[in-house]
Amino acid sequence: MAPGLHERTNMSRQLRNNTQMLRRGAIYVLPTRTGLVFIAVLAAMLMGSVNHNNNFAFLLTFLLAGILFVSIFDTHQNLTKLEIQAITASPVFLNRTAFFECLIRNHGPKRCSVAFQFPGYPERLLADLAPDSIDCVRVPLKPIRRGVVKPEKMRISTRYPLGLFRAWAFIAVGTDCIVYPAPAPGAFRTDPAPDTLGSGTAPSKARGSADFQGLTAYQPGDPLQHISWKAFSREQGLYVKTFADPSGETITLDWGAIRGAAPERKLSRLCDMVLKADRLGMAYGLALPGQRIPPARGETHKRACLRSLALFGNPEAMP
Amino acid sequence: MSRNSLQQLHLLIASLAVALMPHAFRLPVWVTVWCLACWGWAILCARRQFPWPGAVLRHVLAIAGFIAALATSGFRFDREVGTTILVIMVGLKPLETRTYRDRMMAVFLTYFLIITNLLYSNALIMLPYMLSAVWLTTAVLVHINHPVGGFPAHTKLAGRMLLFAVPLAVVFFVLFPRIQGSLWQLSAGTAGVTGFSERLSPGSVSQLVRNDDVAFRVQFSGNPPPPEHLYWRGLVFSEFDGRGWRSTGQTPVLQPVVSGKRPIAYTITLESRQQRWLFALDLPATVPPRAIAFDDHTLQWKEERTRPLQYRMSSYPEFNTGPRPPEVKMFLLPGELGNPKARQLARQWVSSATGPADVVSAAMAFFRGNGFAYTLNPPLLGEDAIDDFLFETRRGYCEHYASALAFLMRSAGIPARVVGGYLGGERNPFGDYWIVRQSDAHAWTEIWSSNTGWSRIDPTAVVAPERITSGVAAALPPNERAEALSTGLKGPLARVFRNFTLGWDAASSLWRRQVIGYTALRQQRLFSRFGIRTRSSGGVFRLLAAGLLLTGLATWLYVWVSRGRRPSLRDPVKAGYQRFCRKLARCRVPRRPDQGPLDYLQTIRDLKLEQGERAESIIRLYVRLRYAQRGSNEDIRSFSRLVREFRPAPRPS
Repeated sequence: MAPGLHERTNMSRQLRNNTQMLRRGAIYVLPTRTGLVFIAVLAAMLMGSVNHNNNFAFLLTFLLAGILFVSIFDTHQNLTKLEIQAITASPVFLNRTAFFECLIRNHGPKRCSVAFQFPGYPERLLADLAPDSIDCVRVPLKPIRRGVVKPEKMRISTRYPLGLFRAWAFIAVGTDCIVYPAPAPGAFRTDPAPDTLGSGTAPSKARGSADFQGLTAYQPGDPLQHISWKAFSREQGLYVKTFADPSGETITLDWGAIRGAAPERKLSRLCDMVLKADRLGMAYGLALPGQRIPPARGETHKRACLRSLALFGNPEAMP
Repeated sequence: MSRNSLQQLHLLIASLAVALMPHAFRLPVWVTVWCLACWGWAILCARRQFPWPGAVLRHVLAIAGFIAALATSGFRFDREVGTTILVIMVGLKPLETRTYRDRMMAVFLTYFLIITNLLYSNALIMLPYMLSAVWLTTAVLVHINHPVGGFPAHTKLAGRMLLFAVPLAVVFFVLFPRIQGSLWQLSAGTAGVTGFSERLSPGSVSQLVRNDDVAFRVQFSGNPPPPEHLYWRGLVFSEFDGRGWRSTGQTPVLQPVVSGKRPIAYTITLESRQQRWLFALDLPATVPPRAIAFDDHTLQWKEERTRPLQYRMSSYPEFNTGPRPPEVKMFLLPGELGNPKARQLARQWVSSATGPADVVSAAMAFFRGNGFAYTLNPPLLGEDAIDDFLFETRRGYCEHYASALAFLMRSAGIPARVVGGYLGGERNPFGDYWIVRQSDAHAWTEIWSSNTGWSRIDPTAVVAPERITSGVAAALPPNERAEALSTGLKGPLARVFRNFTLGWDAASSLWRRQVIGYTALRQQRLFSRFGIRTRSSGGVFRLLAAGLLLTGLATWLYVWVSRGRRPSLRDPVKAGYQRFCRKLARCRVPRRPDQGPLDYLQTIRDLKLEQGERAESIIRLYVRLRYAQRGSNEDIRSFSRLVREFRPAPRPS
């Protein structure tokens, strides 16, 4: 009853503040492998002292044992009173490393060599945290598949100061990270075949060779590379260059147009095409089996496309 | 190699060097050269990108080193070889410190090297050495685990850890059960032999005067006896061989026959090693356990002795050894040996005397009246040494006088012998004990009479009475005083130096008695003072409880001290503001983490709290103190008071 109640109040506090404090009881401490070796060395020293009946050697052995003992508390205190206030992660491509940004508030003295790691992933981050301040640490994670990566927990550990003991604690991670497929380079194929949904009639002109038409006021989501920096430098405000599509054509990147490749390969190719189309400022749509995104431009549109590529065929991972 | 790992290598080598230093004076020179060469190589590899030696080369080097170590000792395995092999490994270790694990192992090796030093010397000077070596090594250990940090901060942390480890070490030290004897015995190294030899010849005592080593220390249970009673008996020389006297043919007895009054009790800590003779105040009344007593009132330790020895004694300053006549050898003088003039003189005294007492006083009068001088540098004596001394040179040290007097007495038919030991000593005001040094060595004569048994006759007392009352230096002619080392110091700093030496000696002897001499027996005695009997299971239980309690106390203290008070608490303004926020949070107006003070004020205003105005003034004052200017102490106090008196009403949920 009592622990349940405790947990519930703890949880409600977490929900309210959305922060997690590393409390004393939630931190585990055990000797490291080198710590066990050191204990064996101490045992040998003790044997030697007993054998030679040498009180001075006894004194040194016990002094080292005392240092070992004291280091347990130092290691433990290197983690207590750390408060994880928020964790965010930006989407990432499959062949890149994702970084979970943790906002950590240190309520105590300086922390040294604190390791952040997601269990099951080899990447880790070693960081020092300044006393009584808020730090942002970027914990790396290299995703192994596309889709949604949602690590349940993150391990915060330390073996400072002596490396003889390791203290660790787990904190819940509510954040997920969307992993886009890795872009696979290749020819840009819009393949506006009549049986596809694309309405292109002049594919040679579709390669982004659009003519400059004029300036319109910037709206969030407009591609950054279309901003008219010249106008901005004349202090006229943010404007976006618009291009005339002479044919008014749009393209559709179609799953079905890529033949003879595995599904993941197809997704990678489509990902690459989305990126290229976006870079060229084209209006593009995306057609996946059972899913279709109408042609559009801009950052938001790009993200929506990449996102549906990431989540394709993997509905259970929907965030 | 990166800057960090280069620094780690340097620090590792520094701590290894400190741990090695005392060994460098003991081990063969090539071992030190070996270490320096390997370390230099490692540094070259790290700095100049020399190729690091591979595993094969390292193993070949290690095996070569081990063989060289064994060869140096003649393929015997003892402590020296063990240490040499360890030091060879220490030399090689920095060549493989590229991984974290290797570096950690190097640190453990350093700790191990430090402890081997203590097996060789447990002098007090090793204590500060040991502490600083452990300090440095621990700082290096911290640095290895936090290479990006600054070494000074690591030194500070290591110092703090050491500081708190000391009480724990003391608790363990006192409580850890000691056992008698050792599990197995490696042959111990030999220390220099100083002190008396078993033959007393002219010059054998006076050469000890130049040696300022401590022979033993004495602590009297009651008042110390006057200086003229401070004769420390060691060996008895009863066989004359023409030039010198030999100590031979003692008969062990259970308890020598002696009677006396007002015994003096004291404890002796014997420092000089490799000597089985025990020294005691003339004349010992008791026999310490594990010692053998002889019929000539000398004492010997039963076993080979390699470490300082402590024993309690009691002695009679005035004694009577009873009417039992001495063995016949005490009368003997080898007939074929010369010294005719001395024999003639003795016969002359006998013919004109009524008893042995007259002969003795005639002899003393002879020493008093014929211009005898007390000197450290007597002239060389010829074939008939006693004759030369008595009639030609008349200059000699105590052994000359004691030897001559014993010879004269035997020539006169009175049983006599020479006793070797120490006379006097120096009281250490810092520890209230006496230091007897090798330079206090002395020899005197004993003669036997049927009423009193053996009694002490010291011809030096006649020739140089200052020797008895004021020590060696006072008795010597001024140009020889500097040779009696410590007492010969002059100048303004002599007194300071003297006091320092005595203070150090006091601390040193305390260290030896209380720490090094903390044996199983003393442990039992200490425990029984607290009502803990180690033999009973209840006693063991209590001991464990005491250990846990003391360890727990030390731990609690450590956690409490190093909890690291939150820096914010040191700032009264910040602390006050936090208190204010807590008060409001209890009334369901919590400050969100992203809210600054003015945003928070807005929330409070929107809620139209009862105490809103007070809250507003507190926040305004806080903003002024925090961001506008450093407020005066008066402002800070009034801010604290406002916060203290702020009592918001709970907001209905």
